[in-house]
Amino acid sequence: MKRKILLAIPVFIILLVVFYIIPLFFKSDKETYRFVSTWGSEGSQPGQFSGPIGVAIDKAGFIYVSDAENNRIQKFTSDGAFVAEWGSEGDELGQLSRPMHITFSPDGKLYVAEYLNDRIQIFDTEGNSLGAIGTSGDEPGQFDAPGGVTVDAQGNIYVADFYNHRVQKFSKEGKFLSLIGESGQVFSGKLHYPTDITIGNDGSVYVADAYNYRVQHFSIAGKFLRKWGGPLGLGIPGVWKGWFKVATGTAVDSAGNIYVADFYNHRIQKFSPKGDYITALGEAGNGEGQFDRPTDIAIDQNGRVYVVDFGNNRIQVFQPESRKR
Amino acid sequence: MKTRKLRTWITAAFIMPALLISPVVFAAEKGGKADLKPKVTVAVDGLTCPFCAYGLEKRIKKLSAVRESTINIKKGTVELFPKKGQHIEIDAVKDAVKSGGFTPREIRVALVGKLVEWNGETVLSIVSTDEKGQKDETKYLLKANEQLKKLKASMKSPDESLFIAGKVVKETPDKHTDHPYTIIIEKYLALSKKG
Repeated sequence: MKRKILLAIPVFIILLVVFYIIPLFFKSDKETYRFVSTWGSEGSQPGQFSGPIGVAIDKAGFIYVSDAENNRIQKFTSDGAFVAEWGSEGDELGQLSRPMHITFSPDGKLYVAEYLNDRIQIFDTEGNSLGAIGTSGDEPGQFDAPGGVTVDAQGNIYVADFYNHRVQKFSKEGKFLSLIGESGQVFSGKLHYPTDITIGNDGSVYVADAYNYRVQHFSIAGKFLRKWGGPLGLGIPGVWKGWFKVATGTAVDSAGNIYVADFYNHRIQKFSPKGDYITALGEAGNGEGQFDRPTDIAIDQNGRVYVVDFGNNRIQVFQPESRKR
Repeated sequence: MKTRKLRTWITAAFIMPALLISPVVFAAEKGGKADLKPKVTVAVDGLTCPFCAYGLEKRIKKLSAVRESTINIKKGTVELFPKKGQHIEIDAVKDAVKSGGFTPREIRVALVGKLVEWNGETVLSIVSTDEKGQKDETKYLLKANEQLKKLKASMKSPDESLFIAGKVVKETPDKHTDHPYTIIIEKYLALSKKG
């Protein structure tokens, strides 16, 4: 009996190494992307950026970028031609103070998370302010630096409340509904400086749990489903495929795949809806297809990937190239 | 005769301002060139992430004595400029940085004040007025070193206003526990003109 146990231990260790430890570090890319185009440079002129953070695409295919340090939203064609800009520093409606992640609701309104104004401001596609929700604080319905926002099919609004370490859910009218996650590390459902959220095609919620170095997945009801990023999603940063060094942005494509901006690894990683690694694009640098701390991603109807290349003050566009078997 | 007088006046017009500012230039040369804006500069690790950097900016903007702040993500520093007549407290800056999720590293200040001998130490005394009109005095110990000796030697009057820039270190001599910060002088400038 004792002998059997002694024999079982090395077998268990070998199995653990082969089936869990090795796959943690060596994952293969199942798809590839090719660089298509880029636009933008550092500055405050139309078409230039100073700290771009978020990107969103409207139903007509126009690209919107939050230009945080210029306190404005810029609108472009899908080829990067400048169309319009709005916003100036301030806390009046129509003004912005460090606009971060942005998103479109199903009815075509642009939601902007305003970091320094502690609110979500809503615009039409021409830049007219339609109102705002939220105030400063840590009570339900209040924010301390909202970094990310998304809207589900019913019009419910979800906000990544960065310094309060939580996600808040609001009705279409802006009434507080519930909290998702709570402050903490390591354990499931604990959030540590969440930066962004996105709604999966089944209505579930994906959270970029930035300084837990992972993505957490919650059900429509806000129940924890899974987490990934490094070993068991425990919050260990790393450079390997499927690991993160600060997840700053998320997006979902028409197939329900999840894209994550992996900030300090200077890449975008793509996962299945259940968190299985698919591929990564980009590497550190300032050349074509290279990134300096990407912050956000948007996917258009053709599967093109638009990446906010924060440190290089530009947008880069990629096209799916092939699917590997 | 008239031409000679005119020449004298023109010469005087050029020389006099130079003579008046000579102590300033002298001091500046001794201590190095200085930007005369009072400010506090804090080096902070991890400022390369905008979510953190803007969060820190938000907390710093809430400090009542701060008129303007600049976050340099590339350098990893935060510069804070005080409102007119006000003084930015080092402890308040440290608290703001910590509440932003950071650890404050090197702190440098640029201040305008007067040298005062206090409890046997040389201190820089800064008199400020808060928003309610209350006057307050903050004393920074000045590290006894060659720079301080040179500064004292360059002073024309003990009551001279001085611009001092340097690194802040926390040292707590027994007699100075109310504001336990010491400045290691890096640059100085006598602000009063020769009168």
